[in-house]
Amino acid sequence: MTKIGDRASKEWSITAKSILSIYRNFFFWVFRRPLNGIQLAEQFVRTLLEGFLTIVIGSVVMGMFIAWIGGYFGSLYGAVNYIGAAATFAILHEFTIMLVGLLYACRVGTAFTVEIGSMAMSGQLDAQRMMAVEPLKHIVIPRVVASVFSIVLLLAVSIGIGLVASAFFLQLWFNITFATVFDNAFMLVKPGTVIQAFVRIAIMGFFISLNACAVGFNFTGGAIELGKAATKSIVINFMYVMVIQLVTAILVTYSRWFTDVL
Amino acid sequence: MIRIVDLHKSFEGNLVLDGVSIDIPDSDSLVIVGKSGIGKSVLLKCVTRLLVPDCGRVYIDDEDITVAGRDDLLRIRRKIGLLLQEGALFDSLDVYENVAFPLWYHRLFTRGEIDRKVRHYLDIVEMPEFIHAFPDELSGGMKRKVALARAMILEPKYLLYDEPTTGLDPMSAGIVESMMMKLKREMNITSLIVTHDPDLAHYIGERIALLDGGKLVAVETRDGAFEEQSPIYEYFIHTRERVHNNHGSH
Repeated sequence: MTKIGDRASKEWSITAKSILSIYRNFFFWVFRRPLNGIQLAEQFVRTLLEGFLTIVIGSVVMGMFIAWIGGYFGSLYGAVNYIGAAATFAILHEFTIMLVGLLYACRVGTAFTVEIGSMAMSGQLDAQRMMAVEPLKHIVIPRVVASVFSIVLLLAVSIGIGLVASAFFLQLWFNITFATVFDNAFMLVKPGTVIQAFVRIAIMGFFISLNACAVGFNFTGGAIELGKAATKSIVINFMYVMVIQLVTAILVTYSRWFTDVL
Repeated sequence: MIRIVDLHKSFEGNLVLDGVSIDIPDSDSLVIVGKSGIGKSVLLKCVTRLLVPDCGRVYIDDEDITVAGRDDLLRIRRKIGLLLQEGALFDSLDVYENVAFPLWYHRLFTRGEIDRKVRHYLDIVEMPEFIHAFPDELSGGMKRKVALARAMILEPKYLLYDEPTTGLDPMSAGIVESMMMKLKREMNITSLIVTHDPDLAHYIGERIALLDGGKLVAVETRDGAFEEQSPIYEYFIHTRERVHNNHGSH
């Protein structure tokens, strides 16, 4: 048992060191030329396509969940007119951010880990180093920068689908019309509500992609270890998503900058 | 010249390289042989600083790669081509793009010049007809030929080979060996090869060194290495016979 515990703590300590090392080196390489514009565009399209379907399905289910809870308690307490406002605020302020963060970590983050891990395993990263190409610059940076933009776009998709799905299921399950839902839908929403959502998801996108790349980048071992690395990437990113969600929610509400100023 | 001085490397207390020292003058062709897992690939990775040695120095043209900063490291590495086991071609790129990659990345030439150079090196390794094939469509030998072209395209002064013929059938191994010899003769490249293939060692090595117990225990000329009293000959020939006898075959 002690041996297993030692091995596990050693593995996690190596992973933590890898992640910290990537954080440090990322900022060294990100501002150095040549920035690979083609790779950046390729990764943007790729992450968008990879995340799209998962996030669409997730957003529909989230809309159904909000419709069910909102419709049930709204009807119970006679607050049908305010369901639209509450649902829109919940979707914009918190729900979609966590949903998109988690699904992005699962779908795109894991893909990064496995892809870069298998490149490390087959010697492709070493081959790049020997061509005087820094793989962090060539492989990691385009993925991270592309992720920051693609996750913002996916959040916009998720918000739109979440709102439409919740309205649709409110009508289907509780006979609350589209008009009732959307009449007051944006009552609680200010520009700051939308901006904070996009800023928070961009921060999440940055850390999710960087962590996922870091786990793959410093990968050593064979197929079994690659499977473990994929799991590790998901676990780390789930923790990050939840902590970022909490910390940024506290900052946004405590500072009142997004709620009052904007 | 590559100068390796007192190189040490260990993994979790397991000493793999225990003071390896050797000079590889320009135009030389040094083959390092030794058992599997003895540290031959580790030595190559330390020479190129893909692994950081625990202590010791590696001088590439009098510049110490073990302490080079980020920019110096990239500059020094451009003098070195490395052919890794299995070739390590990029899966998402076809043969042309794989070979063109370093030139394209470093923006050293115009598109036309890159095209001419890529086709030239693919001609040298006799792969022009597979220019648009992807790595998963190539055999092991073909992959290594493409990897050789890619390693050569930056016109390195030194070419390092990690088990270049391991896992290949005799025909493919022979072709890869011929390519290596052709590059060496035509471009006067200094080569460092690690292998446990005696045919390759005999064919390409001007000097042959035996790595054992973390040290280079013998360094011989090609002719000297294959004389009966040589420890390298002992390694290649007698070791196998001894194992056969111990296991009671024939």
